[in-house]
Amino acid sequence: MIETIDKTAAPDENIRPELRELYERESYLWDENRKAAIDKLHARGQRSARENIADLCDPGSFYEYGALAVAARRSIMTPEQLMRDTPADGVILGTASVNGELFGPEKSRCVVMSYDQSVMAGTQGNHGHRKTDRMFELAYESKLPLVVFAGGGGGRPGDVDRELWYASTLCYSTWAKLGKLSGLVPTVAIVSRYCFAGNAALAGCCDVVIATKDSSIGMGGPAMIEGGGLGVVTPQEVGPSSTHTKNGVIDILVENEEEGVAAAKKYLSYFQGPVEEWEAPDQTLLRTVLPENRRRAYDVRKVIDLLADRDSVLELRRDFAPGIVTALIRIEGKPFGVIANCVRHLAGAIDADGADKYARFMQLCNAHRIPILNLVDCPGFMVGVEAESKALARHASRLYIVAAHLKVPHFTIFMRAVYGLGAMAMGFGDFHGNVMTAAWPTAMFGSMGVEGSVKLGYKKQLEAAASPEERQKLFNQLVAERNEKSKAKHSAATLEIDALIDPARTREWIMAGYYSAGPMPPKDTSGETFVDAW
Amino acid sequence: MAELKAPMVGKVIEILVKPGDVIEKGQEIVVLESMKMEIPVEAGSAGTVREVCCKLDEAVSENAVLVVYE
Repeated sequence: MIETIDKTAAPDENIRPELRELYERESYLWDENRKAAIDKLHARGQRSARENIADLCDPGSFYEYGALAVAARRSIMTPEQLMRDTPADGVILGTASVNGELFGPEKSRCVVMSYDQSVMAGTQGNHGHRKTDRMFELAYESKLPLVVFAGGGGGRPGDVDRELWYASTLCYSTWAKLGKLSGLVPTVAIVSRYCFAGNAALAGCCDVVIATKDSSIGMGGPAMIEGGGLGVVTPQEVGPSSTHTKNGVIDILVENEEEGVAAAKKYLSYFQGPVEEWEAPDQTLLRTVLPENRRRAYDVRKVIDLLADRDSVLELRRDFAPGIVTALIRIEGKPFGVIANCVRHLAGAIDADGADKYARFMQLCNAHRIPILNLVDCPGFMVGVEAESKALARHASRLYIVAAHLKVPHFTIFMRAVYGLGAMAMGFGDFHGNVMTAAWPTAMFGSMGVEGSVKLGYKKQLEAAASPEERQKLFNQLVAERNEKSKAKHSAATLEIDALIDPARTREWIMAGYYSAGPMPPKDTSGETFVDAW
Repeated sequence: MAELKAPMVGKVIEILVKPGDVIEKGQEIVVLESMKMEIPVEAGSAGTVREVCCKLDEAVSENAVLVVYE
């Protein structure tokens, strides 16, 4: 059980009546006075909103805004009923510090909010909107990161009082206000259980969506689906986590809310700054991390784990577009974003989903001024009729456009295959636009795959061969010649890249690049920079 | 009972176990060739091999069961 309130402020017997009235009014908010509602959450494996907030925030650091609001149902409920059944109008929010021990009181300050799934299923009421909007405006003005526990049922029908002022309530600007935060401050959504309609749109506006296995996220819930004549479905069937980890809606999948809070704290930490204490893995292991057999696939996460400070890797969208790995890491305590090809999927070729994942992660890092490191083992963009049918020409080109607008320093390490336009895009579309590019001795460079280039470039000579055996022999010979010419040393000698390096010195090179890049450019506060939801 | 499944379309180029073999989590069980790349398929958990459901040089589809173990 997590302590949800600071009992040191509890009143003694002799306080004046005005103050006593405050404490009596506040008591309607506390979990211990809402036992039945809270027990229901616990029974289905959820924690209360206040328990989640208490776990996320540094002890005693949460200052609640708008706590005394109740639902806009004064015309149909008594004041006592409203206080008892609609505490805080179903959304608990305020300012708090998160990770204060690591980053100090200023850098750790955040806006924290949680829909309360024990109050009318976490739906969004009229005063709830006014509360969230107030906090979004404060976050905008004060540049405070946002963490929102977004699970809830969407817009709340039955807040009858608002009919005095609104016909449709579509003039609410809650989502637009959250949209304005995009790119300005980090925005984190944690979702457990059902998150539909207006709640789903809040999660979708955030930089990162952390969701529990039992979550369902949908722009329309079962009632809307049935209303649309699309049949009867259970909430669990609409946007379950098993779907949303593969399609990229969920960035980080967690077992439960406790893990979700831990992930949110870790995620936020990269945007709060460097840490003093770090430990590097044995760098000589990088010399043998790639298989000796060039055609052998491997898990690029092993490379990332060796390059990053111990326990500093946080991967995003792991199961979506598995050919591209995106992760936040630290090197010598400094935050970096890493983008790497995973050759287990399509041999590392970049498909439309991979391009989107890569482009969007660049936007995230750039907006929040986190330098980017790319680890390249890429045979090119994916080819084929099916790949092109997914609008690859547009998705792939997104990489060049986003990279061309980067303000953060970026670095590229070429590890193995460096072929074609895809590998060019992995080098940010402009090798010399990097602060530093370096290749490992295992890297091979080419404008296209070797076998394809021989078939195209030597078509006439191959056709002129006297026999199929002769043709194969010539082909093999040409491929061998080309392979020799593809070695990274030639790219280093022709200044295509800055250096050919011992893999064990990669971290040193990255940090030399980091310091050579000069001070990080200030964040764009003009309002023009944002991070695409996708 | 656990199933080792093909992570993608490919050709079986190595089978590294036989029925009765005790395997460890993370051990390479089958190697597929796909997109000119050799892709080791590793056991998701430890166990004993019950059945090998693929043949050398066989083309397998994504999610095809390659080996059954428990």
